[in-house]
Amino acid sequence: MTACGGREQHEEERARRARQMRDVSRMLDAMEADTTPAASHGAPMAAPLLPPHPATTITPDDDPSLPLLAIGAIAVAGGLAIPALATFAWRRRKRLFVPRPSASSDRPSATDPPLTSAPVTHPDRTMLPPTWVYCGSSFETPRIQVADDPVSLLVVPMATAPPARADPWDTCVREARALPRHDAEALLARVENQVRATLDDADDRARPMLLAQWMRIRLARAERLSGATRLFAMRELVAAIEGDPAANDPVAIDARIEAQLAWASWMRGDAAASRLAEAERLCTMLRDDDSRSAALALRRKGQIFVQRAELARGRQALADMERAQTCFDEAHTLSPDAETALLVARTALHRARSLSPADAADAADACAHALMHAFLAEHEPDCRAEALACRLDIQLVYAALAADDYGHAGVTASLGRDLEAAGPLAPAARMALAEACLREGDHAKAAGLCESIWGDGGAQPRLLNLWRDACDRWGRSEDHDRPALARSLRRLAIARSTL
Amino acid sequence: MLPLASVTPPFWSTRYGIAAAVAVDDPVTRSLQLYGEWAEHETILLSGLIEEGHTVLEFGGDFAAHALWMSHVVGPKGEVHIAEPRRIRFQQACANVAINGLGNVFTHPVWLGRDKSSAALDTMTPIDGASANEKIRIVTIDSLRLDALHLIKVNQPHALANMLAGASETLRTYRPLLYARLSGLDTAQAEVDAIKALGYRVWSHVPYLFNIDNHAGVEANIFPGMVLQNVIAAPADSRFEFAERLEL
Repeated sequence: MTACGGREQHEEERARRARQMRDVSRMLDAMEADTTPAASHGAPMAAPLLPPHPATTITPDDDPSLPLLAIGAIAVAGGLAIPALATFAWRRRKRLFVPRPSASSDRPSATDPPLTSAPVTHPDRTMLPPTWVYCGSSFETPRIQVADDPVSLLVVPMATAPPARADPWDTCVREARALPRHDAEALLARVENQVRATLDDADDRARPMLLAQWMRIRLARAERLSGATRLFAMRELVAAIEGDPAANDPVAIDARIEAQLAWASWMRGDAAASRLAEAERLCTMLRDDDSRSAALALRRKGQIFVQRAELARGRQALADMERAQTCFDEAHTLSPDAETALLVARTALHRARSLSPADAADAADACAHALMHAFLAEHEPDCRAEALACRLDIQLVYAALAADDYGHAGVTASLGRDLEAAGPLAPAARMALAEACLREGDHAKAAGLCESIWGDGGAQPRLLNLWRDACDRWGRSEDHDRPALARSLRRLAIARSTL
Repeated sequence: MLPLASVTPPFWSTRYGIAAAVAVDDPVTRSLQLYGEWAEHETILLSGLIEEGHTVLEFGGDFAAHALWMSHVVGPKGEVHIAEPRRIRFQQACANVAINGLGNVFTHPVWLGRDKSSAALDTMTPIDGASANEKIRIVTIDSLRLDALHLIKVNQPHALANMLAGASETLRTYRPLLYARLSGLDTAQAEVDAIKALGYRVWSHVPYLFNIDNHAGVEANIFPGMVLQNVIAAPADSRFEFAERLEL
């Protein structure tokens, strides 16, 4: 039919579908946002337009009971949007199925009265005639639940972070990151002395946890030092725990891995590889006898592969990212918390970025995978800003892959607004926002964001190229603020000259 | 040169050890005296590259200012070799090595060049003053017969291209990283080309001389806007990547 219609009609239809998709996405987002107090005050959000991940494609047999709302949404939306929404709804349903008992004996029979506690009932359930169940014959049909459990589109609360990390000392370490240098150093020194004193008096059972805390505080102090001094601080830290039996407890081993990963991130080439090799060795000492421990070990392995990918190029880097993806996916299956979801999303996004243009289909799949997990992470207030930034990045990557621009601009703009409303942004989030502003034509704002990232110490070629593009287009726009542009160009020149 | 008697006290406390006080007629000594460190931004970058047990060769002693920290970084199983051709500067570097008890630092009173020979200092590098016509001994890096080499750090200007020419066997065997201060507008391109011809990738590194987090906590900047024009180079087939630096 499309082929028979005129080009104008065809484009109008596509534009209409894109608008519908955007509206439906916002509706779904608004529904989800109601589940968290922090999100309830935010503006409605938009979902990027994505194709489904192959692992999540719905088959006709797969889903007799998609929620009515999702069916309605899918019916309204069209084109590329349909599989993306279907994937999203199916993924949620899949997560809700995980804790459900699998034994059929645990379920009520078809003739039992319907569950009164169910918030949603399938309309077919009350219409099923009892004669559909045949008894007393060799062809007896097993008792089956013909109506699936109710499915809610609302996202279930995420698992919280392990309680071991949520103590007052940990809070101090986090607070110190926001303090001026001298105040932070004084706070961390005080907290380290407190933990050290407690550690010295602790019994064998309490020592591993305290040792891990002490290491994390020392690591936070090392983060604030410069290259050579930090190097010596890390060596002292490693030497200080050598021979301590508590250092071989899984809790302390996790802190040791964290220290090695941080150390590796400050090193280059072979020196970084040595630290990652040590982290990998420590990983083999982690326990995996319960799902939480196994998930923690998998997350650490994934983080090692991510950092290893940064040391490599081309196929080797991609292979390491794929290994990281496998680890994070498994960890998320075992322990579906927001932090792991964010790791999954970021890794998939990184893979999408790393793939060559010839692998655009794989890149789109990776975007879909990333999007689903960014959505999941977004519902944890602590992860919301980072997850929004990740969604915006995904949208930008996907828009670059897509053949046309239908609907992308609106979604990008909406995500950008949500991200700005989420509060102070990390440099990576500001970079995504700057890219979005550049695409929307707000060149001055894009340049300003780039400048702010540079002011915070960022000077990667990607940032400087983005800044240069923003200034170029800003200069070509009519009635631009000439003094402001000249100021931005001057600072860009300084940034480029000191590379 | 300022009279030595005007400099007090006899030792300076620096970030990585103590240094014998000398006349402050040089940016290195002015920085060591006032800030307790010299070109700290170089050490910040290189601290991510050097490991325990590494062997480092530094051409141009800079009063052993960087040898002090490199000695600690490579540890007792590593080695730091300093080549300083100027007699008095060589002795001052040796003094600092000795008073800090650095057993893993080896000093060489030589110029690292293309061939073994000798020459007046001012024929090798533009220089004024009393030491301009000082006779210096020239050797090649290959002739040092080092057992290992992970990093060559070149502080001495107008030396890089010839030094590399005299190090072909060592570079082929050990494929060390190179960190060098470029000599100036006239020679920078030739120096970068010489490094690339060895199969290396080259990135720019332009560290400011002033470090706001200096050891002495001095806020005054006596090097306003002053930078060093350096390069960091790694074999093209190695895993080194400096994404945030400008590749040349």
